[in-house]
Amino acid sequence: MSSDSVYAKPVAPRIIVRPALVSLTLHALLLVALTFNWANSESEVIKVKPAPKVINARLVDVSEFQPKPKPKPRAKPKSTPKVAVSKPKPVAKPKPKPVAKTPVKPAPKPKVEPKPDPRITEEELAAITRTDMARAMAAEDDVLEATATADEMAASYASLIQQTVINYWSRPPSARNGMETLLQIQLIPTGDVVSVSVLKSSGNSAFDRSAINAVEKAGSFPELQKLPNREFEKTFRRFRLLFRPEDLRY
Amino acid sequence: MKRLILAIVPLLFALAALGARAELTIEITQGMDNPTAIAVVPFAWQGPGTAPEDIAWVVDSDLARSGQFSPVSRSDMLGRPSTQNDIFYRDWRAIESEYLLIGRVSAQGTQMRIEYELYDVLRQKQAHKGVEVGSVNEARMLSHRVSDAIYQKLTGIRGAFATRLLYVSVTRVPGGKDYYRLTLADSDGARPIVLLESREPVMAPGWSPDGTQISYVSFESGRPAIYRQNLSTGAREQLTNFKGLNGAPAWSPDGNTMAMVLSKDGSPDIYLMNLMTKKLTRITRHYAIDTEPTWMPDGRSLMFTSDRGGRPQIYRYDLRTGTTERVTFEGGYNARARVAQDGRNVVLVHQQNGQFHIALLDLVTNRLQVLTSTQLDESPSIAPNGSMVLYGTKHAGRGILAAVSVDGGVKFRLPSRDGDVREPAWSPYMSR
Repeated sequence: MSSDSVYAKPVAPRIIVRPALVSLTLHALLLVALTFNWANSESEVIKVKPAPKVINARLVDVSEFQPKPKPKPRAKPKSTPKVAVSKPKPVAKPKPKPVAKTPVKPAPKPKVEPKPDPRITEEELAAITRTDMARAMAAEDDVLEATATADEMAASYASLIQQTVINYWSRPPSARNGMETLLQIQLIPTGDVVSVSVLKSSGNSAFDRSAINAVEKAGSFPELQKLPNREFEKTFRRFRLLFRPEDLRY
Repeated sequence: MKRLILAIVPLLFALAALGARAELTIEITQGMDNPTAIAVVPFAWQGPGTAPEDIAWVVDSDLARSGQFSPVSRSDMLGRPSTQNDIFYRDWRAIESEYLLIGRVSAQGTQMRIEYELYDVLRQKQAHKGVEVGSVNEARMLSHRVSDAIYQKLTGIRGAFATRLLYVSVTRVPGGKDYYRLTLADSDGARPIVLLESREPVMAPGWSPDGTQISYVSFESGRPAIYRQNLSTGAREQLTNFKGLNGAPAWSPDGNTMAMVLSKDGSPDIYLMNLMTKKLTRITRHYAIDTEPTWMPDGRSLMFTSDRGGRPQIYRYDLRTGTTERVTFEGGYNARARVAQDGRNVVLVHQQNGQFHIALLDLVTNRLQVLTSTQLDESPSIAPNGSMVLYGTKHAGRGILAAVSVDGGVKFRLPSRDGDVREPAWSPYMSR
């Protein structure tokens, strides 16, 4: 956690979502990149730590295509990876028409150009892509805006669940700091726990049982009824609890 | 075609943002560590007459004393099931009992049979079941074994209820000579048996690693001598009769050697006696007092108390290298160390603000934690499972035995019938 500056940030609950990267060359590849990115995000873990209540979710861009980070407007002034192409403003992108204006720097590649091809040129294509990108970004921003509040809400309910479970968690004397039990919890919209299962055992059955019992004793999180149905389905229908004591004597 | 794809792109972005959420994982890094609620229902007696012992009550008391459990009061029980079919989980859930222990006891002649079943109330299923068979006379010991099984199942740590204690008691006789008694009792203080009675001091009781023999120092011959005694046959043997001090016998973990303190060569030093050949090896040579040896569980080194630095502190002697290093640095008085089976926790007598307390030294972190708030605490002895420390202390002007958990959270006193009680020695695990 310490190595990950994102987690360490003690800011108010907030999401940091980094959009998928955009390939400038081919649409098809863009699609591939997106799908890839999407699939990859499955392994993403949203963590809630007790002290600074932070929910961190981010789309990690994984791609071998030349990466072009698009800092979305509300991004923190984090040092985004410096890439070959200078940081572009999401919208105001000077559009270098592919004529012969070489001097302007941001033009990606004013190189070989004169293609008398009647069809759309690569540069044109790039330009179109950029405009569409801009539109996409804007669309995403809207989504982000909505998700931000939704996520903040989710975060506060997550911390409520966390606090409730902490109050019911009674560790056996054989528990040691660093033991880990991962449970999967299923709720119904009333907030009642309908299933608890061990996804990953600590290897100590008494410890595992203490974790399960903590959830069973809590039994229900009726506050979740206040959550909009969509949010409930998205986040709390099924979620995971990681039990990892850090406050034991050893 | 390309146009179409372009149109899809923004949609994909929106979807990506929505679908990007992985399953939420909430991390729990703290807990409350309250005792586990368990209902120990009186076991059904299936023999003639009345049951010789309230098995369930012994188990109930054991679990309560451990501090890890808070047994449900019998008057709160909404039923008294003795078989699985009689269990109504909601009754037990209603009184917030997490576990339910039921059982049946039967006897045939002098043999007794205890069948017990542990149920998980929250998950409504059986968590454990077992049977204990033995002599009716050993009903309490059989009960302690049930406690051991339940404790191990629910805490992940082996239970130490079916163990025994040795202690010394002194009865003051006004105007006359005091009576000294060496007593053997169950781990809960019940069933005391006097092993030795003397008008001269008896001290420093200890156990052989297999729990079949004991050792002690008796002044019955007029001066201190070390004895060992077989618990089942009663046969005893005098091991030393040297001039000066003969004290603090400590059996090695393999049972072949006994460490002891002798002053026959000048100042008190630590010696090892081969119990087969009775050959002595001197391992400390110092003009200061070296005393109270105790073995590390691996048998490769010993801890002892020495005032070679000016004040009593704990030192450790490595049998392979023959080197000695100081172990305690905190405070001006640390003595009478005993090492837990994990080789990590050491209990000792520690002086703080002029008072003597029992403290726990963690050999890994080197942290010293005072466990007791009583004063004049002496002779800590640690349970074989490392969970509790028994020690002598003063209460209302009398010497009594008290116990504290190694985390300092649980404390209780053992009732003492007669006189001043001191120098408890907790047995190792007893073989059946």
